Amino acid sequence: MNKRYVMVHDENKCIGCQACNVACRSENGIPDEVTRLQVRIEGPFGQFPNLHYKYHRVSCQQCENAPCVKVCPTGAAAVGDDGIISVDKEKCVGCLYCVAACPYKVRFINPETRVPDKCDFCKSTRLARGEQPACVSVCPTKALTFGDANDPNSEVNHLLNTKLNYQDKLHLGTEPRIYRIPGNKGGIKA
Amino acid sequence: MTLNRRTFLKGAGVGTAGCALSGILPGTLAAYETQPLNGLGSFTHSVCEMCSTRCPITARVVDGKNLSILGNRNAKSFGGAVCARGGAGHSQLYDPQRLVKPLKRVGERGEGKWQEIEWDEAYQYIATKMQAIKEQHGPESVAFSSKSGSLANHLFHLAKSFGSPNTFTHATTCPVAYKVAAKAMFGGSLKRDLSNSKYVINFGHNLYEGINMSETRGLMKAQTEGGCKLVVFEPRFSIVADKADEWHAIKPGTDVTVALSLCHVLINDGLYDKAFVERYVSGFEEFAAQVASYTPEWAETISDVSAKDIRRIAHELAAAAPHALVDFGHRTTFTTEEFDMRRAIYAVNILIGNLECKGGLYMAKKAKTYNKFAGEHATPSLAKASVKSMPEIQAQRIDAVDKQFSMLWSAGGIYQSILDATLESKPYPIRGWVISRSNPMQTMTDRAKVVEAMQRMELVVCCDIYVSETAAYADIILPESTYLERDEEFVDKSGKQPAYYVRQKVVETIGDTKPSWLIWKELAQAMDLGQYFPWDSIETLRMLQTKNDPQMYKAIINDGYVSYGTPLLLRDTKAVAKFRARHPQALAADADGSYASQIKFKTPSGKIELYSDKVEQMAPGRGMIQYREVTLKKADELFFIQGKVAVHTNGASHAVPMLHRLMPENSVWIHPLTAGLLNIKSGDRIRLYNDTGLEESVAQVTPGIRPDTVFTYMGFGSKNKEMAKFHGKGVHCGNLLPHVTSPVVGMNLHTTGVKLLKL
Amino acid sequence: MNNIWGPMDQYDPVVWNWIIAVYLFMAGLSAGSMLVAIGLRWFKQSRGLPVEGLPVIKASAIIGPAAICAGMALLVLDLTKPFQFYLILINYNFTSVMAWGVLALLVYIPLVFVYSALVFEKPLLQRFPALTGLAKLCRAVEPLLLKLIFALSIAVGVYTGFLLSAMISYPILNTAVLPALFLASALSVGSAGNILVATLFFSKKESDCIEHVHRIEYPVAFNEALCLVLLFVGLNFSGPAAQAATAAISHGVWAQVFWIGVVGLGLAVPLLASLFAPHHWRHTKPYLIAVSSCTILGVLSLRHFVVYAGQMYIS
Ligand SMILES: Nc1nc2c(c(=O)[nH]1)N[C@H]1C(S)=C(S)[C@@H](COP(=O)(O)OP(=O)(O)OC[C@H]3O[C@@H](n4cnc5c(=O)[nH]c(N)nc54)[C@H](O)[C@@H]3O)O[C@H]1N2
Ligand SMILES: Nc1nc2c(c(=O)[nH]1)N[C@H]1C(S)=C(S)[C@@H](COP(=O)(O)OP(=O)(O)OC[C@H]3O[C@@H](n4cnc5c(=O)[nH]c(N)nc54)[C@H](O)[C@@H]3O)O[C@H]1N2
Ligand code: SF4
Ligand code: SF4
Ligand code: SF4
Ligand code: SF4
Ligand code: SF4
Ligand SMILES: [Mo]
Repeated sequence: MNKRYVMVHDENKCIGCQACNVACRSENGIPDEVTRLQVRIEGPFGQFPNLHYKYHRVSCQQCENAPCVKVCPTGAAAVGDDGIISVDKEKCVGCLYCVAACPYKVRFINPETRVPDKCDFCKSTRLARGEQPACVSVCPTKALTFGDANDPNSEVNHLLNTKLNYQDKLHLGTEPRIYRIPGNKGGIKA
Repeated sequence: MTLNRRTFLKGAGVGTAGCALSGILPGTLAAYETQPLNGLGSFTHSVCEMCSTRCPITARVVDGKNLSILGNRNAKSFGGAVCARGGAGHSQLYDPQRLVKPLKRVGERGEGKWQEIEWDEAYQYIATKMQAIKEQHGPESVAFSSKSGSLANHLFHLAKSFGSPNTFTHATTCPVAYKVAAKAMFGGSLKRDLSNSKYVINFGHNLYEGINMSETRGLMKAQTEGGCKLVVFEPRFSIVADKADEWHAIKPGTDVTVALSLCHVLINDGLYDKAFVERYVSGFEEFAAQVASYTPEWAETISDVSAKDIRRIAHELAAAAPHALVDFGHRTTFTTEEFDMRRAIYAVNILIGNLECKGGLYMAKKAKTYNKFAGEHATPSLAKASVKSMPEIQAQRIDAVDKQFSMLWSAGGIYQSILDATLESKPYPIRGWVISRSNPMQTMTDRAKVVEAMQRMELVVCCDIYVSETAAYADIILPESTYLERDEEFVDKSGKQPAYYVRQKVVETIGDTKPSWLIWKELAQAMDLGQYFPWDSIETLRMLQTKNDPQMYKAIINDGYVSYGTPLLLRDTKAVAKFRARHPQALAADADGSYASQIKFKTPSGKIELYSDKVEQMAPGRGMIQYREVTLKKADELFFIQGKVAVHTNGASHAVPMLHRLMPENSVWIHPLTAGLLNIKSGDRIRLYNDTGLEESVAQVTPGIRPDTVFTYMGFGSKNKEMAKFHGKGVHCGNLLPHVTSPVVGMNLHTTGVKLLKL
Repeated sequence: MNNIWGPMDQYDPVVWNWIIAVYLFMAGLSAGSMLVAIGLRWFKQSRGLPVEGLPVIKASAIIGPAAICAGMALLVLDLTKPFQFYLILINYNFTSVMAWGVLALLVYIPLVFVYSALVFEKPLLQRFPALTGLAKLCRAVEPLLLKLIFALSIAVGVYTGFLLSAMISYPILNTAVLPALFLASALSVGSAGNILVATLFFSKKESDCIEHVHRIEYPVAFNEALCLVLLFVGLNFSGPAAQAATAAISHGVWAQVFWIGVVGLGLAVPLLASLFAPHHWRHTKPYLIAVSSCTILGVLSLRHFVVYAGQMYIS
């Protein structure tokens, strides 16, 4: 495992347009009633007129210390050679333990396969073809950056080293690999 | 692709009746058995039509099941991106509710009783009726309307062949005020170089929700990479307002006062670009005298924007000039005084002299202009297919009653004048209406009037991909193939440099649909007007356009989007130097290295006109930009305003399954103070009503709106039964907006007053 | 801002539902019943008293296997792929509490059946004389067998708690108190279950051992109450998200289940009954049935409360 794929969501650049939400669905053939990705526009917070929204990407965090993997009785929820956490349909019994255990609530039962599904960084679709994940490619404002954080020259590394960022629910020790650049209040000027 | 009746229906032995029983509308995809998608290539370059921004796309069929649609990477400013609607194109393509067979009305208009018919029968029916109207009342009694772009020119060509001058685009429901204003002042339209701007003032240009891919990206780039400051005037806390450095919750319809007072400060404090004004502008003295009284303090009393802020902003703007701009917006339906509001915005731009500079306003460089500067045939140009000996049209357009509207006649016309003509014979009755790719029942104002006008017609034909709210009142609905199943002509996409792109079929046509160029040609043939349609395929037309230049043809087909040359801004010395380096025979530059002396304006004076004689003649008293008081609502009403939401398009996308799931209903934004008075909480059902209509929806209590205003995302609440999925969900905005035609620009009005009631 | 990102149904934090609650209850009931019965047997044996044919032991021989089988059936039915449940028997991931649970149950279930067979040896051998040899063999290792079952019962009881407490994002669940709470309540429901079944089906006059069982109920109930107090006091000191979760016992329908079911039926009623019920009631069938039923309902409520309220609050 010499790769460490991470994704950076720049909440300053994100306009909550859901292009990523739709592109993920089309590319990965996600059935209508479920989704691997939402970008929720939360708020407005603050006092009029000093308001702000929060652009909250909700998708699998590709935890380095993944509760879903830990709790799965059969090893169906597993870490691949590339560090990406995905679900082995052949091993899964559908006990929902991983779904319940995921602190980010991003696992869901795919009504077609009857097993848990979630973002896998487009592992079997775009990544397999050497392309960037669908959500990253489609984003109109280039709010998403994906790459190998172990590569010192990668764009993600550059971003993480130069921009203030945070991860969700760090206190749980999950070591999520979705990094977020927080939205500035009152303007996003660089 | 072939289609069969759904076998389960046959098997059950109920046939067509089964459609009614099972709630499936005849003629829709649901009534047929579908087969896997047939992709025409691994990657096909084409053009999106999920909204009229029409982004260049690249589509790929995934597992014969769905499509992955991304932006065409050859179009740099689009960055390979599409929005949520663009990405959901295949959900529309495969929507069971989509129409795939011509329908004929069998009940009353709007009753929802339909029968599938063959194309020939449809053409015959329409041709007979149209001929009858022509013979009895003249061809001008049939109006033709279509959203501009795509294949609209084919419909208008049919109109001309038929002999009617009455062709309309959606212009007066959307952008035409800023175009007319530009025409009056600059003699033509302008583009904005948002991505290079250092200071942008935005009056309700909703770019982060009402997405225009290259402009949305441009503004974001300016903000995040160029350190651009963004100042937003918006009655509600939009996403643009959130991303702005400053948000001013301006009172609806009062933007003109802020723009005028910005001019006042620029002039009074000597901040304006004197050299620019001297060189390019006429009417400055008169204008300066006019704005002398438009102080920020005055503007504050009307707009609620603080005078101090206006002064400061004027100074900041001037400091950033000329790489600064005041955005002239897109949907120009905020007030009946749109003409002066947009002119006032241009006036600020003129005063800071931002024309043809990086980060300012500029004129498109089409091949002809570009080549003239290049001194050589540097880039190929597109020819227009023209048909000789078209019939002469005698009749006046119905909107030609008043010459104040004369700038509109060739710019799309006054769409809603169809209502006046039909209902009040002003100036003469319209008896037939052929509508394509337009949904006026939802997107024009005063829905009841639209219904009434349609009921009066002797013939209503609608070409759509759904039984839209408007199509529901048609006699015949002609199902067009969706954009993913269509080939179209090459389109000029020139900006700072010439560029072309093209829509190409991504999948084989599903069902018995046709592209509208073919529909109108075949209809013309049914009326013996076939000689005016001498083309038999899109290839023929494309060849004509490229004047048989195989290189150009191939380039556009292969790359989907081709741009030629190098960006040219006439007052940007760097761009000019680069241009001249590239084109050795290029025109000599001015002493300062620019092409500043070459800038020409197609106005009567040849200059930018702050005051216009021409306008004064068209509309007496309006030659000079000035503030006029408007009353948009009654004292005890709240302002009602709307906007686009990122996941839906106007009155078009709400049934598309993928988008419908993302957002099935529009709620109404209400300020906590206003809500408190009426004891309304988020999630409560509420009623909005006024003299025009009544709508019900759900309250969304939010501090992100002025207390005197309510807001909702437009396009919901369709009232026709055919689109059961989104039938009746949310506020139908058109049902609350009065039928208005604004002076000079002929605009519809999308701001009105409503009262609120908790249910 | 309007929701423009689509339906939120799939994000419901309550993933496991009443089926899991009942399964956890059944597993606790089975394990508790074994613990109480084996404990009683050892207690009697240590005093040289006879243990053959004790109603409570007979009851446990019914409850033990029946409850765990019912629980397992529910569990399998709740899988999204019930017909592939065997996958869980052939794939093991030992970081998973559930995998350990499966292993424990895999040994526990057959042993409970053996236990039951030994209790009902006579009627069994009458029907299936062929099993005589096997029965003898089992009898020979019975003491060891009982120890093993006792240990596995503790494991199963605790496991049901660990299963939930391993989920780190639910503050109510993610606490070391939960396994203890589940073990304590397993003992409560085990003894109550034994009493109920014994009273209904096996009791003649040997109700004295029922009395013994009854006696362990107080300390167990006390432990249970203590665990609950610890749980909620603990939450109060574990940060804002956990603190917010204390609303589970003050707001909403699950608070009602907690106070009426868990505290009222499960703890207060048995306690008050033993304090204030007239002496001559205490060995009557209606009294025993009523009180043990209350305990059972209380523990059932507890499992539901923990499963639902536990998943509703997330940190
Ligand atoms: N997602 C999406 N994108 C689209 C479209 C779509 O339907 N959906 N449609 C395309 C089309 S056709 C167009 S024309 C463009 C439209 O692009 P815009 O004109 O930018 O879009 P709207 O949302 O109509 O913008 C109006 C904004 O002005 C605010 N507003 C209303 N009244 C006033 C006022 O009096 N003063 C000021 N300052 N602000 C006011 C509204 O709150 C709203 O946010 O978008 C294009 N892009
Ligand atoms: N109240 C209110 N009204 C508004 C606005 C507002 O903000 N508020 N916005 C205004 C603006 S900016 C605009 S541009 C107008 C737009 O209004 P319209 O010009 O009516 O355009 P749309 O609503 O985009 O689409 C019209 C129809 O085109 C159909 N259609 C889609 N694709 C195709 C196709 O490929 N072929 C054919 N034949 N039909 C197709 C759709 O099904 C739909 O019925 O609305 C205006 N009306
Ligand atoms: S596509 Fe980009 S801008 Fe749009 S919601 Fe997703 S991350 Fe945000
Ligand atoms: S976010 Fe959830 S599903 Fe994704 S790795 Fe972490 S625990 Fe697993
Ligand atoms: S549902 Fe499948 S993947 Fe998830 S824990 Fe159970 S077996 Fe593992
Ligand atoms: S990385 Fe791929 S799977 Fe994950 S959210 Fe983005 S598009 Fe979907
Ligand atoms: S903005 Fe979106 S819907 Fe409109 S053309 Fe572009 S991709 Fe298509
Ligand atoms: Mo528009």
